[in-house]
Amino acid sequence: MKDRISALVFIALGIFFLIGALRMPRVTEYGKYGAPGIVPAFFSIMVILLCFIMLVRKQRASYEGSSVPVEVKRAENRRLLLASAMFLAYVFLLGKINFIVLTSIFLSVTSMVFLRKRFILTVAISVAVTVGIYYLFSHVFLLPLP
Amino acid sequence: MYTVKVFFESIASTLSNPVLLFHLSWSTLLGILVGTLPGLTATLGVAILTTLTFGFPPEIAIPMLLCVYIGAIYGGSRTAIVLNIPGTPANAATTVDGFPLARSGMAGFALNVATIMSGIGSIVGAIFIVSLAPALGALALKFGSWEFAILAIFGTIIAGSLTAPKDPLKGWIAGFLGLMIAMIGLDEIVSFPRYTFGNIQLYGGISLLPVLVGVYGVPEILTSLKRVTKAEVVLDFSKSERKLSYLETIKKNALNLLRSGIIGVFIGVIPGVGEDVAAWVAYDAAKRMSKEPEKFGKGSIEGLTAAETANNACVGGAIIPVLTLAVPGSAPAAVLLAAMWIHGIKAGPLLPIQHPEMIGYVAGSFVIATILMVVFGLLVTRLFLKILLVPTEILMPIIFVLCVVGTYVLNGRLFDVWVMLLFGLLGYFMRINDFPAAPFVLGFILGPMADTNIRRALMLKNGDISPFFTRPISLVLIIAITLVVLSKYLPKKRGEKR
Repeated sequence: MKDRISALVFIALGIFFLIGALRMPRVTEYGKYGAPGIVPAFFSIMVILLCFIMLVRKQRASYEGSSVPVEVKRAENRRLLLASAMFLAYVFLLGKINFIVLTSIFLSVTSMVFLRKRFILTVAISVAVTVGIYYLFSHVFLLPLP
Repeated sequence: MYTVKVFFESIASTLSNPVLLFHLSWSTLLGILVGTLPGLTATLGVAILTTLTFGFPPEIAIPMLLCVYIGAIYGGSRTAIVLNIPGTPANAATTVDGFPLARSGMAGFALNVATIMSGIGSIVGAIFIVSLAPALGALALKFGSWEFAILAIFGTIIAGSLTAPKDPLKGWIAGFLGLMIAMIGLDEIVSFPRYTFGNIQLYGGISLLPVLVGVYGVPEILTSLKRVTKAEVVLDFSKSERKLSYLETIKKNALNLLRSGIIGVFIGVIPGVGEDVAAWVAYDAAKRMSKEPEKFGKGSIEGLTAAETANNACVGGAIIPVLTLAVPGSAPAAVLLAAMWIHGIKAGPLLPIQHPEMIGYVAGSFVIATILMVVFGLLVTRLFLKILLVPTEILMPIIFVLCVVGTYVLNGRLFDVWVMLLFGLLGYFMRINDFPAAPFVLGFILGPMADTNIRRALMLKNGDISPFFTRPISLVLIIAITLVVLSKYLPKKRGEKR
């Protein structure tokens, strides 16, 4: 089932790229063989073809997951979603809020949510690390920060 | 001969340059630290240091990146031995015998043996850079568009086969996905904007670094953070190390060292197939040739030696095609290739002409990096292991911030950060569905090379594809691709099935 879903996802991506390739100019100043869509079309056809083979082949038995209890899996999925949401929020707010403030809050909140203990120490580490990163990039290596 | 001369000169000049030695020292320590921390790969370490060394001249930046690469591949053995979790994928084979040794009270001995064997492996890699790279460079000068086009496909397919041995189809899909996604941006022949949808940010294509950090970094961070159960740390140094002779161990394993080193180098040369595969193949070979195969998996020094020698020798092997063909032998080598471009060094067949000193210089830096790795490895290993006591929940968000900042400083635009995040999610999706990341990344790197050369080859002969089959090197590569594909699907003899 897992293989079928990924095959379908990648086939959709392949079709998207194939359509894009077919809509590119067919003739260029270098003739028809210089056309920009030739190679993308070839690669997308290969993706579609290989994924199609995966889709129709005999499905392999899935070994993973059987040994992991449902509660653990559920907890893991919850942590995964939480982490993804926090990462998205951090990137979304970058450039909108001062780097030191945003990163200190992000590191503190993320560590606190996942660790659930030693709150004061976590906040102290987060602020120290943020300031460290800020100075390392912008003052030592003279690189711009968001 | 010139390469050998530069090789020795670069070692001597580095040793007499305290500023360079200082930079190389902290880079090596950073590499060992990155490797020691589970979830942080050598690829990520090299990528982060690439951003930090933007302002450095290439003669300092490139050796620094080599130090972090070698240090990280070695550093992963620390965690593999005391935690039973490979610090980097390259050290997966190290866990098999390293952890049982640690459990039997020989953690200190195992750690030091791994350090020494990694050092010997790296030296083997350096020797091959000096001896093999000029020869391969000379051969690469004979390559035309046909050979480069086929080489790109060959690299992607072989990387797919070797990084997904249980299901090569997924490896090939990953490879072609990478090739396909690399088509985004202005094409190199007629400058037509492909898949840009009017977005000016996409005209230059997608930068390699955000893709690499995304595909390798984000899935690791997410996986580490979601994990509920924690690993057992074994720091048992109870058995005195003085009773066990390191010299005796080296002597006993001389053949194993040589074999594993050569295996490591040659697997490294194969495009996209990295240190993890090298370690497993060398481990398997050592087990087959051993007089005591029953000890493998229960704390065999031979097994530990094979894995650690091969993965570090592989680093040298992986750099050879970077220098001569602009084709990375492994994922961290791909970042190294990108870093060389950033610093204005165009790796590839013309490198020996444009920068004749580069091969010898890289090999010399390799030796210095190895010396630093062994010295720091023997001196500060136990101190570094204390870092394992820092909770993942604190460490991983910091790593994420470093990934974000490292990606941002590349071009100073948030677009790259979003690209990194998007490829991180794609990388996670691929990981949970057992698609290997290496062929995807290799395909992404080789995509432009394949595109330009396929079309150039067609234009030169007005659409005639016969030169692909009549030019000797191209034909050899096509036969190799066919054999690789067929070998995965031909029915195996009885008893060969695993």
